[in-house]
Amino acid sequence: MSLDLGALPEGAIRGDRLWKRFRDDDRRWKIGHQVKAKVDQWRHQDESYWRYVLRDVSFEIAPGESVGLVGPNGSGKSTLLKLLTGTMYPYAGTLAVEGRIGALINLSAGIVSDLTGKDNIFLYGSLLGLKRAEVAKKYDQIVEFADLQEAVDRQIKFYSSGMQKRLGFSVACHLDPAILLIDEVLAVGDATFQQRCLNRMQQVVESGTTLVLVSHDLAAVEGTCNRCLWLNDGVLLADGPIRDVLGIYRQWIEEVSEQLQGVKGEIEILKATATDGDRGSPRSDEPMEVRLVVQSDRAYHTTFFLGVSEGPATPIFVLRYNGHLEEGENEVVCMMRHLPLPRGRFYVWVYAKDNRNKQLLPWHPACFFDVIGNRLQRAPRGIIRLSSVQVTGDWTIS
Amino acid sequence: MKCGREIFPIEQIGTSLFDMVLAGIPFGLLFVRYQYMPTSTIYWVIPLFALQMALTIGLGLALSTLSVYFRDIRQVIGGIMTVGLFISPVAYPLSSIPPSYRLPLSIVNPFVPLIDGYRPAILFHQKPDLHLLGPAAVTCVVVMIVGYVVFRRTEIGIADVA
Ligand SMILES: Nc1ncnc2c1ncn2[C@@H]1O[C@H](COP(=O)(O)OP(=O)(O)OP(=O)(O)O)[C@@H](O)[C@H]1O
Ligand SMILES: [Mg+2]
Repeated sequence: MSLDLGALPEGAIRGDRLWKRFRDDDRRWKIGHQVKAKVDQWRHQDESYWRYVLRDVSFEIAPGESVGLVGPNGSGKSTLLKLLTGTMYPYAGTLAVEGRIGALINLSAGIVSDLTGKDNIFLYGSLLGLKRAEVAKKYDQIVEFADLQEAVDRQIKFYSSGMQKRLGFSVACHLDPAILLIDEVLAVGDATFQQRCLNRMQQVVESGTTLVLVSHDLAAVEGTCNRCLWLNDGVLLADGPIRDVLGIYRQWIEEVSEQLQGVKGEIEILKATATDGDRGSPRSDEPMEVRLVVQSDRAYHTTFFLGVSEGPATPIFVLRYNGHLEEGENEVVCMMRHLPLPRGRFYVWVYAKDNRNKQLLPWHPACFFDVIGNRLQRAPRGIIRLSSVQVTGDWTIS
Repeated sequence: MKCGREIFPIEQIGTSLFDMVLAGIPFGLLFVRYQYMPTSTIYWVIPLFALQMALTIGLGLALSTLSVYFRDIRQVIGGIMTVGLFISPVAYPLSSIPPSYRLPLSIVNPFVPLIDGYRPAILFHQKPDLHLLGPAAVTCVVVMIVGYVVFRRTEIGIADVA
């Protein structure tokens, strides 16, 4: 047990050396099996049953902070949120959470699918300890935000999964929580709703609510939070300002996906670089040179595709070139005259096929580069930008 | 303040109570139809009901969490209820049980004196048999306490296995 340094202020969270373990046991439903397990435990042979999902995680979050929680699949993010809501209890360590919690962790939690949307709003409110009148005051806002006016009187089981998530998010963040816990909201909603969620989270944070946001959409985390926790395999690897932590996290992802490099089709990329043409980092609006050293076993008429992405396989833009590859090592150079990218890290993806449409090289990342330049200009609220292309313009008003 | 998870099994009991109230309406109508006044011992219904609630809540709390851990319990409960119906004086009077069996049966199954207590208290101007009800009351209270403790201790891991 930790020493308790007095009561926490409303909206604060403190986790102290938290551990969580699960039993990997597909026969736990059977009473006889449980008895056997108890006997084993009694004989001290039981440790092998347990898998530790959170290991010695300690952190403290002050009221009003907005914290992103990132990490690869299965690293224990959702588990940590469930501990925060009190759905699960830690195996060891102490956890103090002060204030009302609004949470959207999994779709079905707190939602009764036989009730209508309207009933569920009131039910959820009363589970949080709100009076009916208090919920009624917020009711219109909730429905309007979720944009479900025509569906509130329908049973939840007939909602689409996006509609359920809308309702869940709307309820969670409108009932004046002191702490808002959000796990992957953005995954299901349509584009407009995603943006509205982001805006709403921004407002909620501005109003002084503590936010913990779990997402694999790092841009969204970066835009919403000012601090970040990185969980990896149950261990808290980093805790700090959002840019620093996301920086090393992205780098780590890159290292992991580097195993993708050296992908071999009919031809092979030996080396790939993206520079300003002179070994320096490329700059916004300046020329950029991508240089590929390609090894080929024979001569090909080739079509190269070169894409630039923020990490995932969907490129921001694509360049295409028809050329002739000789047997042996070839150097393929692509010079872009104006790089329309803002500051940040980007990835070069490559694909090649021959003139009979046979794939020579699968679509895969070849290298990354960091652009020096201005930060991406923000779109107005409620407007979704599809990709982070930055074009500088000369403006006049007359 | 967030409400505890006890609310869920107790809510189920509440639902059943509502059923019982509805079922009581025709019963009340029968009293009117036959112009039969409930007897003066009717106040015994209150302690009987309190004990019944204690017993039900205790069982409900314990079984609710245990049946999450052991799914079989849900299947078995139906059978146990049927057996319980036959070892309780629902369809037969307690007097048809040999006197020497009554006390042990009441201790093991407190529903015996509870069910047997309602009828005479409402209809026949008789107090329940306190020699049976006393020990059964102890069982009820013990079941409630044990049920609550079991619930508290098993509730912790529910989300891990559900
Ligand atoms: N109730 C449970 N019983 C057993 N194992 C569990 C349970 N809940 C989670 N786990 C395991 O704990 C680990 C962490 O899961 P968790 O859901 O917290 O991951 P996550 O970080 O949220 O991943 P994702 O990014 O995919 O959402 C996983 O290996 C998962 O299989
Ligand atoms: Mg998760």
